[in-house]
Amino acid sequence: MKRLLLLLTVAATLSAAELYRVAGVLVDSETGSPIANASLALSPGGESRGELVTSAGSDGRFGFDAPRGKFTLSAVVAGRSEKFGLTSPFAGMGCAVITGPDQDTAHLVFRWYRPVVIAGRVLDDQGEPVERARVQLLYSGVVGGRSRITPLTDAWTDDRGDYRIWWVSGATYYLVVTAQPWYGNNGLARLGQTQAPVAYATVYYPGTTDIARAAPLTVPSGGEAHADFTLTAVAAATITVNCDNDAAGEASATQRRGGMTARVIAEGIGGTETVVSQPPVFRCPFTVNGVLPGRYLLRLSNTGTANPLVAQQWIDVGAGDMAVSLSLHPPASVRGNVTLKSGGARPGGTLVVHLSREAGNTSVSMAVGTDGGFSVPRIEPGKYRVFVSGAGYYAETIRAGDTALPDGVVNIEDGVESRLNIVASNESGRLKGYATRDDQPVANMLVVLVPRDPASGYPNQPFQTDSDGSFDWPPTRAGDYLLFAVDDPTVAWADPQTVRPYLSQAKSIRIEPGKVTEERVPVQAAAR
Amino acid sequence: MRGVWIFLLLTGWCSAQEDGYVLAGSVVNARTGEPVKQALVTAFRFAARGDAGDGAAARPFRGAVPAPPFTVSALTDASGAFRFTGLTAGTYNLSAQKPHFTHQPTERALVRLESSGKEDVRVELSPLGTIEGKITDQRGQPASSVAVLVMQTSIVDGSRQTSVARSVWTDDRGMFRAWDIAPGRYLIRASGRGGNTSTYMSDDVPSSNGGFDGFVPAYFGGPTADSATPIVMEPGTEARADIGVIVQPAYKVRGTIANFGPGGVDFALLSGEENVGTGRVVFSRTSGAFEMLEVVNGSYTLRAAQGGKTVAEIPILVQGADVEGLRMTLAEAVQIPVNVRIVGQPTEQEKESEDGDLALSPPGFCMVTLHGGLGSGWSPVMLGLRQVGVDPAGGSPVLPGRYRVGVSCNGAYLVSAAMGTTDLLANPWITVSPGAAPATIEVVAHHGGGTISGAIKLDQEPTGKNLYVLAVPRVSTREPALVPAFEQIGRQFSFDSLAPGDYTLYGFSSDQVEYRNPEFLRGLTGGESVHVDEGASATVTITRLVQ
Repeated sequence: MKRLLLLLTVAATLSAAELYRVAGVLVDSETGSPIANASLALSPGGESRGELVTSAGSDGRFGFDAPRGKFTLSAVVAGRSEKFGLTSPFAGMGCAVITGPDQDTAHLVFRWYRPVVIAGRVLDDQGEPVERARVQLLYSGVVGGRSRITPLTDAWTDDRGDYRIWWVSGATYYLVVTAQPWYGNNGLARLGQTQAPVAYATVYYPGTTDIARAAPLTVPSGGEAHADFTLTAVAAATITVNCDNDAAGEASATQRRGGMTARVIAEGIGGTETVVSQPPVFRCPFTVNGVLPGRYLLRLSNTGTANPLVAQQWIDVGAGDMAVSLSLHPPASVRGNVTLKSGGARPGGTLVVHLSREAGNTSVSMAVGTDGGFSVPRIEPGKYRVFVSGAGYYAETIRAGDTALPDGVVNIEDGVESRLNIVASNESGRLKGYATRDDQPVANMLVVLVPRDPASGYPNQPFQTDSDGSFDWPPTRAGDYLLFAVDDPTVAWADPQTVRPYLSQAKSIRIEPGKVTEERVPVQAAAR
Repeated sequence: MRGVWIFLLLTGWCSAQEDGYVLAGSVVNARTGEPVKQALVTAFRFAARGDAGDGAAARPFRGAVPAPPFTVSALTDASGAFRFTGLTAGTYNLSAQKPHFTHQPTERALVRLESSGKEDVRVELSPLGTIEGKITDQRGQPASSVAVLVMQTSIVDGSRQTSVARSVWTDDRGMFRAWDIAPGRYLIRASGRGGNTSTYMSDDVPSSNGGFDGFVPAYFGGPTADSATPIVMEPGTEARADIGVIVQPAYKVRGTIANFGPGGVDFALLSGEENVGTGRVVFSRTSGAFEMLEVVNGSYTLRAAQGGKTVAEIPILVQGADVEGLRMTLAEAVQIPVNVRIVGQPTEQEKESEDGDLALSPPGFCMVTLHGGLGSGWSPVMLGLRQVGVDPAGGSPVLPGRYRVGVSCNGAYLVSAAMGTTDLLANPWITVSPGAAPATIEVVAHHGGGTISGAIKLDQEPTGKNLYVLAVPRVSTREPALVPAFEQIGRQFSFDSLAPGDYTLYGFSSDQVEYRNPEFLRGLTGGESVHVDEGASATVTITRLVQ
């Protein structure tokens, strides 16, 4: 069914009412068989306004007549939407469809990655179902150009202990199961002998409580995997937390104003963090019940007050109860300023400073004020990569205090105010061109731009070539680069080790400020 | 005497096997009689009697036992059995709990350990039910991510009301499961692909979110709530409810809201009185732009409301294309003025209470309440407590919709209620239109009235239940009244401030009495007739129950 009304409106506003055919077939990525009756949308510039919608036939074929332009093509099958041009389920860039007089967009093969089902049952060691167990799925693969393990989604078990994850794509995953016994913190008292509260030890696929023996589960597109788990209740410790300094008085005053958060954090797979307990805190000292033996980071903070306080400490919990003392202090923070290399007036748009945590997925962004200053009043300690964005600016030099940060990574320590001085430049140029094989442009190739000087701190830039084999980067920092193309978009383009083998055949290019550079780069086979 | 005393002392020693009594038994499923394993049994002992000061000398047992309140608990084993040993004499409150059961109160909840233990205590747990089903489309394909509402219907204030008990989603097979469902009467509704308003803070237009097809909400058994098949759940019922939906192409409705304030904006897509929107709306706080997804062909009223105080409505027609460019301006919800007059003389009783220290309420007052409407769930809108005079503000703001006007008076009986030319006693339903200036609700009540009191006396006593009495006036424009007859006070009841006239009284075993349904009233038989005059008191005995 076509949206003729919209089509005519669009056509009428063009002086040359040329329409180009965008057509093809929607197929299953594993079997190649056509998928019937899906809805497809062609969105100009990826926006929903002005999109054209059609239905594929029972043979999987679809077609649009679209004006000249750059479009995002997406398909919806059983309520699930995917973009055209994915070469693997999580290669998120997709491939834009570019229509025009010399483009063949009428023979597209739209590969649909069928979601998988991961299901199973969680029981305790008495054979009883465990309700509300959390089955956490961690994706193992390349995210943001780096090979890492990233928490992706959760499912919860029902009254029979059954869980079913049906909304993810075929990939390699780790599964982590946590739950609390429903009777656990009652403390089964028996005539004055109080048993310790019980908790379930975290279980990792394929069924071990030892994180070192956690193994990945690979599920192909459209496949089904079954994973059952057994949870065993074990005696757990009670931790009493004291606050041992004057700040405790302030902390107690704070909690009366309504907010102290305590978290017991265990190290998860692949450097992720798992919060094992987040007890309500009403005063200091307080207790945390049901903590299993292990090593944890205990973190305390007050929230939303003018006087922020934090404390954190690594603790080793054994079988018995223990007491911990925390010293509350002001949190780590960042203060800095951005000066423009050109020294000119501040640009109209807002400059934004981003601090992206190396381990894990979090980042903090702060707008830069008109005086060039920015501050992050509280931030969790760790290593962060510093970026600048807005109005085509990038960070040319970054200093923490007096020390230059050549790789753009700052180490933010607990309780310390880090000072950052950033010189931002908008000396950028445009780079566009084609990835070629036998001198012909090839769609869906990964093109990578690597700064020649590894100490520049500027990250590698990726691009997945569009339907006409082209790449076209947004304004990029001027300088010398190595440019290469590889036929596998899942290559970890941000990792120097992974990229090194391709550099010998890469093309040396220079991006000049204010200029547009055009290049053609041959495609290399990915190292397998 | 001495010989006897020693004998008793020896007996006391023999039964104290291990320094105390034994309390043991098993937990069973109240419906099937089967044992329940891994149930948590708790025995709570109140402070034991005779525990003044040092109790050791008063006890014939070895070892001091704690005197203050005392709790012991344990999980039942594979045969559902539990066993507590070494307990002192006293009264224990025994209870059991386990997920997916409710505890059924029984007379054996209190166990007395005096001269011996108890070994055969039976604790019943009443299982909760489950409702499972599959949603398919007209091609037999499973419909995934569908929000399924389990709605409990019960009779509140004489009319059938529905509230959402549970909300679950279908998976890739179109299957859903709702568990821990308490006994009651339920409707199951397939409401569209799950979602809610997502608010974001940027200038960008939301990117394509799919939503190219959708379906009109449908119930188990029929397309509307009235035609739906109710599911009656008993303890442990495992019900099945499959629903077929008709998937059609769906479109988007886009527009902007001009004057929203802080806080969220609620959107509803109304077809008649029902909200048929799926709830998937994207709203930008920067620009006020909104996009409602998954709207199938039809004629609707689109409503945006904020905080129940401001509202905008616009009729829309979706016919094969997206609807664009709507402009909505939030306006104050409607204020309905109320004027209450109470005529006649305050009674002696009321005059006393006016002078007395404990006068908690003015002598004779009436409250006007609007029931129904959307957006505020099903909680009634109270229009204020007025004795006399005009209240131009009229209490809470009222969102547009259809309401039943209810007037309840204390220490007075209703003579007339009108809104403009509408006689609210003949027809209590009103429609509130957006932006309208509604007429004042004029209420006239009369101090005093008559009283009917009495008791329910039956041949066979139903156990542990409170009973209810319905008084139905002969004059059909007057409302019936339902009052409880509590067991603790010997099943006595009384109706106060009744308008003088004839009434028929009926006894019921529950409060689920649909007295606002004229058909229900017409079908009642076997009541007691009584006449009451102004200022007089009539007495009635009810000897049988209806239903």
